[in-house]
Amino acid sequence: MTTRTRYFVFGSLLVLGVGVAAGLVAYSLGYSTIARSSAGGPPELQYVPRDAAIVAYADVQDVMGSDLRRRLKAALPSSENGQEEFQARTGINVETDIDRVVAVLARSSGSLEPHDGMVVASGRFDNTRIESLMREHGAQVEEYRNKRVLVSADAMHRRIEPDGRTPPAADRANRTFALAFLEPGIIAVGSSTLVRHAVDLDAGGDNITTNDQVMALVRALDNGNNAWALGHFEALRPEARLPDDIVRQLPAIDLFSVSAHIDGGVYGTLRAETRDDEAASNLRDVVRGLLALGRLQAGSNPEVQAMMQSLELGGSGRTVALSFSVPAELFDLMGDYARRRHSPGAPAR
Amino acid sequence: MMEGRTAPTVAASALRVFDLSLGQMLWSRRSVFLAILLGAPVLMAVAIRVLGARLGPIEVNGRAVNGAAVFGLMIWLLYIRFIVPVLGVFYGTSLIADEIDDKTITYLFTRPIRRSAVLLGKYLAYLASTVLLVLPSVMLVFFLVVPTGEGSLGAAFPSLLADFGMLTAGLIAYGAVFAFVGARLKRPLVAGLVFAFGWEPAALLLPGYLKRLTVAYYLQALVAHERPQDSPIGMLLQVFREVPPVGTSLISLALIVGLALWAASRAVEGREYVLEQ
Amino acid sequence: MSAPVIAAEGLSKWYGQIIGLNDVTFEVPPGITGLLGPNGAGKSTFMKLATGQLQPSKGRIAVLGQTIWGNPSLYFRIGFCPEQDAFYERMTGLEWVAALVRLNGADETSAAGAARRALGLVDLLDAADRRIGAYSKGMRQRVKMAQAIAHDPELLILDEPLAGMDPLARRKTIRMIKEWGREGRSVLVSSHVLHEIESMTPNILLINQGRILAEGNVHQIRDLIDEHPHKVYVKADRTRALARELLAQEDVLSLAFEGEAVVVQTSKPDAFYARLTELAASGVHGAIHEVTSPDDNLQAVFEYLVK
Repeated sequence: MTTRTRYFVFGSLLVLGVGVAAGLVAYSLGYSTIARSSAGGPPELQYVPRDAAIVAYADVQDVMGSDLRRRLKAALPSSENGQEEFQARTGINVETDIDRVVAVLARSSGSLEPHDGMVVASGRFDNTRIESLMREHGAQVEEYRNKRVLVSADAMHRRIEPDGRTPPAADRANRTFALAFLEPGIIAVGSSTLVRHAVDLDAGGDNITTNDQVMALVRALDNGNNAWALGHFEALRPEARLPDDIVRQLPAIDLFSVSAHIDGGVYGTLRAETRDDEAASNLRDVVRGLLALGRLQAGSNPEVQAMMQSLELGGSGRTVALSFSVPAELFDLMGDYARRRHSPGAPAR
Repeated sequence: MMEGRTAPTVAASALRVFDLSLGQMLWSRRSVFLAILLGAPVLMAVAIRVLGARLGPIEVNGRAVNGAAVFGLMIWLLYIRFIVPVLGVFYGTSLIADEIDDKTITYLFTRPIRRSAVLLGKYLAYLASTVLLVLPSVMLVFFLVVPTGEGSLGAAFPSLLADFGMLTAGLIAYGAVFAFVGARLKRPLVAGLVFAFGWEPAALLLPGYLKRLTVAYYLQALVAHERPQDSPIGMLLQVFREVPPVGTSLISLALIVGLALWAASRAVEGREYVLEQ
Repeated sequence: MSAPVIAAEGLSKWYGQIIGLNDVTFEVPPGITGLLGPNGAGKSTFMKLATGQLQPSKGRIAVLGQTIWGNPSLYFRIGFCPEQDAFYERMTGLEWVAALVRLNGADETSAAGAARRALGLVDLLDAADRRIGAYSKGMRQRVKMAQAIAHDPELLILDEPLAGMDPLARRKTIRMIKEWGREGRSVLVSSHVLHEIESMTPNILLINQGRILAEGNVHQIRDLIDEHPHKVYVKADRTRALARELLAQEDVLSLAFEGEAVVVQTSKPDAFYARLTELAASGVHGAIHEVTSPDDNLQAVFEYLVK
């Protein structure tokens, strides 16, 4: 090796070494904030159990500031009243005070029931006002792992089992409603079991970010989208009312996801991960058939036709992906329809 | 007195050839081309930094994106899909061809080392020279681009290390494939360019198993950054979003590299290169 | 009788439809042997077969008793100086020779030592740290020789080693080759200039059109070649003054200038070269940089022999 080459190798390694050292310093300085998000997805995922059945996320600020939201607001003015009432009671302006929300539905395991759910919201909250409101409704304040948790046993009392009985007392205790102030600017609301679990996870433990399969999907969904949901299809199946052809494919579907970017319209992708290539191929055939049927039935309405044409079936291997684009005009159409229903004399566009 | 001596091992000989070839490769005619190729993203990064400071965050399809996302795009579109295959083609196919063109192959093939050691040594020199040029280039782009649009250097740093690994894997794999092409074919550059910029993009878009006959398919699994999905291109990319698991990709890439280098070594051992001088 | 250093048996090499070497059988004995033939006679093909760069199309060739193709260990015992003027131009002479010696398994220090010794033998030690790209043609030829001898081989195969050398370097190289032979090593040296071969060895192999025409003593060939005028291309500091001096000699038949060089036609090449060497040594007409013989008058001799 000549001297000049040695100098070059040394110079190149020096640049790399200095760069890596600087990167490591940046990484360690910002570790406390990035530790939660380095796995990908919103930081609130650290409060979600590792084996959650369904997780959904929305960037509320982004959605509320979207052109689509402005159009819908103009088309559906009646929604204002509910929002004002909510703000008056809680002090939360949904449009400006909430940054992000993560919703989670638990999978049945241990103390968790399949219907246990929770929403983790980050933003600017008036903790005192929220606590007062909860107390007014009979909530008890408790300190759980140095966090303030408001538990209301009242919320679940209306639940009646299918056979007409009320749930046993022990079960009722488990299924109470709770709110916890996890960190300044982050609250968790939902089933008390899940909320307490969220407090546990804040102290450490296996949250969903340690689930590589789910997080791989989260990273894919989180990029470029302001709303998404994913889950194990088994959790969705009992609630879903799907066509028979699709239902026949259900046992083969493992994970499902939907991601959307809401701006002028809604652009997104619906994706299913099947258990094998053959199941994916079968599911693609079924969806293709449904798409053809849908396009036939789109009629002469150009907006609906445009939406149907935007549906693209894709994916390969075990993945079945359906991308879609709902144009803003379709929402205008829906707004017109809603107005006509509320005032039948109004002229249609 | 030297009658009983046996040729040194292939590995030992390859290291000697590497030592001899590294400088030749670094200071060759291609260095200018390499400098342009790797300097262009750095210049782009400087432009992004300057424009970002003056005009605010960069927008992709009408949406503001942070520096880490822009860096991810640059890694995918510039480095993985263009620079790494180009370096692989131009350097990999020329490992032996350059020595033939310069008529210096004789000096290497009349020494007590196996011809495969010459190929492997030159392959190692290719790897060292490209890695030592590509990674600093990526490093500069990272520090220039990531802080724009409120991107965090610390948060993006782990992905930079992953990118280093992936780019190195790409250079290893493409280099091996094109080393074989260079050792086997008389006009390797044309065949290499067709493979990298004809076959690979086409096979990745085609449904079915053809994509498994590309290097890019396995490299995709190692990409730490996600591609944007809110544009027609994003949707198109989404179609071939299917990627094998990281473990499968690494094993497949290792197999590709091993097989390509073995076949290239076989070709070099049996070919009469002086006929082409 | 000692074992031959190179033995060819029914050796043929074809390049597609073209025959490079046609069914030759001969043995190269230990010592110095000249391979003499005009351009395109098959000398280079034979050299490449003998150095394992080509594989025989038919027959076999053994070097130092072993097959050379695919037998890298044999290169410990062989030094090869190729014909082509090709180098790693950006390296210095010392770096280049040392790097090639390292390929023989030597460590960095001993490789550098061997390279210095070899460069000293070819009188290039002063220029050892200069880039090869800046060497004159004669220096390039000598550094090529240095890489061939640096690892102290038993058999030296030299393809047109004197081409482009100045008279002093030429004389020194010839002396070195003869010394090599006296030390009991073997040298196979090719040339298309008879007197070059004759000054090194009386033992020749005469080759033309892919066939061995004659083996043995050079004197019979030399008698034939002397009947033919011989062209020599000389490049010096003061070419015109040198030309005037040469023209005064009886054996010089004609002179012509080509750029900065003079092309001399002589009827007695041996006497001419001897005088030229003396002129170069005296320095009366400045340095003589290059002496080559573009002449292929050997072709006439070969045609005569073939008839």
